[in-house]
Amino acid sequence: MYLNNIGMIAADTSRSKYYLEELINNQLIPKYILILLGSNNELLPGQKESKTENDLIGLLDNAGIKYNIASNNNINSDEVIKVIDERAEKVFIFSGFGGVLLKNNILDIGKKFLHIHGGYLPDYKGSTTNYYSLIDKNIMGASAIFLTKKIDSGPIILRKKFSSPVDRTKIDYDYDSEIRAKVLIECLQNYQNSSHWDFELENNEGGETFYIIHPVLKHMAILSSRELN
Amino acid sequence: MKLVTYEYTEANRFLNPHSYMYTHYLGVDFLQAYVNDRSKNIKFFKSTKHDGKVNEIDKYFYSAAKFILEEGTNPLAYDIKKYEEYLRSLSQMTEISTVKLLESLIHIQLSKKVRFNTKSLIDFLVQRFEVTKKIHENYHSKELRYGSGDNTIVRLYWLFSLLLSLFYAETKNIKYLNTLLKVNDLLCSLNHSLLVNLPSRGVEFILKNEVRNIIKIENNMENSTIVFK
Repeated sequence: MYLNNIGMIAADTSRSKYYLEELINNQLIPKYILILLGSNNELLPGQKESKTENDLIGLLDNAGIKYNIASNNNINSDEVIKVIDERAEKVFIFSGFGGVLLKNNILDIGKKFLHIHGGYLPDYKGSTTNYYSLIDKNIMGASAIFLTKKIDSGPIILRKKFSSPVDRTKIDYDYDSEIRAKVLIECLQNYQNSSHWDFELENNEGGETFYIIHPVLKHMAILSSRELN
Repeated sequence: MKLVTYEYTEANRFLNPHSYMYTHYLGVDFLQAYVNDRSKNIKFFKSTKHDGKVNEIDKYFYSAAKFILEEGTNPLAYDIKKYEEYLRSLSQMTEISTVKLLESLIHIQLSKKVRFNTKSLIDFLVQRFEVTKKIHENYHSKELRYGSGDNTIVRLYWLFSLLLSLFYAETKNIKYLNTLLKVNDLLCSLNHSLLVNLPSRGVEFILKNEVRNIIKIENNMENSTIVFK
């Protein structure tokens, strides 16, 4: 089943692959998919390993789903913005390269960008927040928001808390993607059922903004199985 | 088996800043590698002759912070009204001096009498350091986003580390310990001759305090293993 008013911007990352696998499994196929490929030689943030054959494209080809490949890998470039601007879809699922923020020139084109933040909002804004919430409360979270100019502060469509995984060494590339995908699917199913976006919390103000976790704290979050702080 | 090392202090972090993105999990040995590296630096700073010109105010900061962090009170009286007034006047300034800002914030933190909300200003410095891995001599424009002047003034990094140590002691918010670890990585990565203008034992003190805090958290783990000598 195609999501008529919804497109997707998918950077070539393990997270995008996870999202697309779940979207296919749940028959929630974006009407239009734009892929941002990394360069062959450089490992971009969020990419687990460099590949000669592209997993993301292989997945879409095998499922018989059409897609377009962007002329460059920069979501904020004029070329990519033009392509998105000219599409009829009003909402785009955004799964970009880690650490890349949407700048004003793309946020101002009148489209909505549905992002699944890895963390429970508004409490945990910023980067790698699930490691912080593991240390503080031994939980993880994921929140669906529409992106705005203020980081992780857009209206919250859906947010969920998750228990910590048994194997915490797989958080970065597996469990984080898995819980985000769960929230994405539930969020889209709700939209399919009601034909409009309901917000769990429109006022996503407050909370704390965190920055990339230091490896010492990350190791303690991985090695423990309970809250530490 | 490959020896686990602590890479974050290996190269001069003024010249080679570390992004800390997607750091690999290296197992329980990594925490011991961190403690060993800090221990090595603490011993080195202890034996370093501080024959440079040390600021009198820095000697006070070191002594007062030592009282606060080790005994919970600061018996060293200091008139801080002018620093409080300086912080209150910041919103009218187009350019601020980072050293004045840091000195004022430390004075406020050291004084238990003042109830000035320092969090937003500390968060501003945290954000600037986390994004750029630098602290500039000045910040300007209304949002104070733009740094100017020298960004290799070692004293600014030491003052920032001291401020974060005090603020973490008060708030117990892991966010500040996270930034503290990165600032201290940078200080340890520098040629030690660059630190002779800091108070004797001033660097040793902030490193010891950081390690004590990490061990306190690590002790809450089921299998606490690290040994600090």
